[in-house]
Amino acid sequence: MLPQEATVRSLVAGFLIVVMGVASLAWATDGFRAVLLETSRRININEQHPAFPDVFVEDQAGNRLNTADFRGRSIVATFMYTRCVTLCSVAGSDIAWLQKSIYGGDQSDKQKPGVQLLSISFDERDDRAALLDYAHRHRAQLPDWRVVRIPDPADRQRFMRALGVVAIPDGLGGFTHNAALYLVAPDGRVRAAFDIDAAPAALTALSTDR
Amino acid sequence: MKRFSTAALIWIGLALPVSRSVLEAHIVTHQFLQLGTLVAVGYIMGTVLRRRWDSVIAPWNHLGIPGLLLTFFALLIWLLPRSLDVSLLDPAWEVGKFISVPLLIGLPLSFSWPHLNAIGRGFVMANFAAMLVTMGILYLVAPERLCTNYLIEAQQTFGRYALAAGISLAISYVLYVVAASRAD
Repeated sequence: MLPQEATVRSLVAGFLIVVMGVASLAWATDGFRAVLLETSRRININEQHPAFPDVFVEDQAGNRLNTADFRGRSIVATFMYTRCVTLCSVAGSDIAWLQKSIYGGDQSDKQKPGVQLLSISFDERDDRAALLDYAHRHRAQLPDWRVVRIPDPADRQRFMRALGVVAIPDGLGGFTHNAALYLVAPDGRVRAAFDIDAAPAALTALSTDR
Repeated sequence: MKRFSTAALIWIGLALPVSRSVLEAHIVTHQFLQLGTLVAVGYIMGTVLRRRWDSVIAPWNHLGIPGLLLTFFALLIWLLPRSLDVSLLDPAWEVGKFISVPLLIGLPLSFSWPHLNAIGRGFVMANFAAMLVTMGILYLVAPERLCTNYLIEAQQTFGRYALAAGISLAISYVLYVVAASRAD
């Protein structure tokens, strides 16, 4: 074989590898937009609008509900565990701020907007007393703001998986997790995920929804 | 052939649920031990396979450059925190990792290495060292978690190790080249 022939073949091979390499890289980074899984998860939620799964939950008053019962209303949801003193308590303040902004603290108002506020615990240790305590601490008012747990572990896993929520033990008895505010449209699809310090943006998105 | 079957056994051993859960529990062992050994498995298998197949591959692998490009792109994808992270959550990615890391990083490198001249080898080593240093600094200073599956403290520990590994690699390669040229 002539040396030139090997050069041409190698050029072809190299060219194909570069084309496939760039394509794979684009695929692995959501079109060169995400090098982190969390970024990719947000892109997926904001563009694909995954379904907010139907699971049985129990709120701070012991009411047993299904997330499907909220269809027809918007939901602002966040994942937390009641012992959390960092991110989740910021998320708690976020929801408290939303409760105040949407419902104005006036519980006699008959014109209640169709927004369900939802704090969902992913910690199996959270029982109803823990939920109630969390609800008191953040002045959560029923039925506008439900602090819930998912009693069935399989449901809990399925729910977290569907939204890409990952909570890992922090070695101090708590969890580190990818916290966010989720805006669920009345049709039961997750419209958008917001950073937990972006409650005003979530409120703006809510008002354009209604 | 003994080397080949040893590498294959290590490959299978790494894929066992017990070794996966042990090595993947920490970002340092996940990247250095699991990924590092998978690359080595592919490389060792390649050193056996190339005896027979190098004459077939060589015309398509002039100066070892196409093979090196394959290694480069596959490595780049597995350096993304997203890939590492998703491999812990999505079984398809996990399988993809166990196949692609040996076969697309280690194997092509072993076919290309003998065809690289001194400049080519130096280029590979310098790039690998620079990559480790850059990665180390990024993991060390990133204010946020890069992987949803690992704590920030673990991420910083990895950063420190990667930085140290990159610097040690650069120094030892320079020493090796100096020693080798003296010996000539």
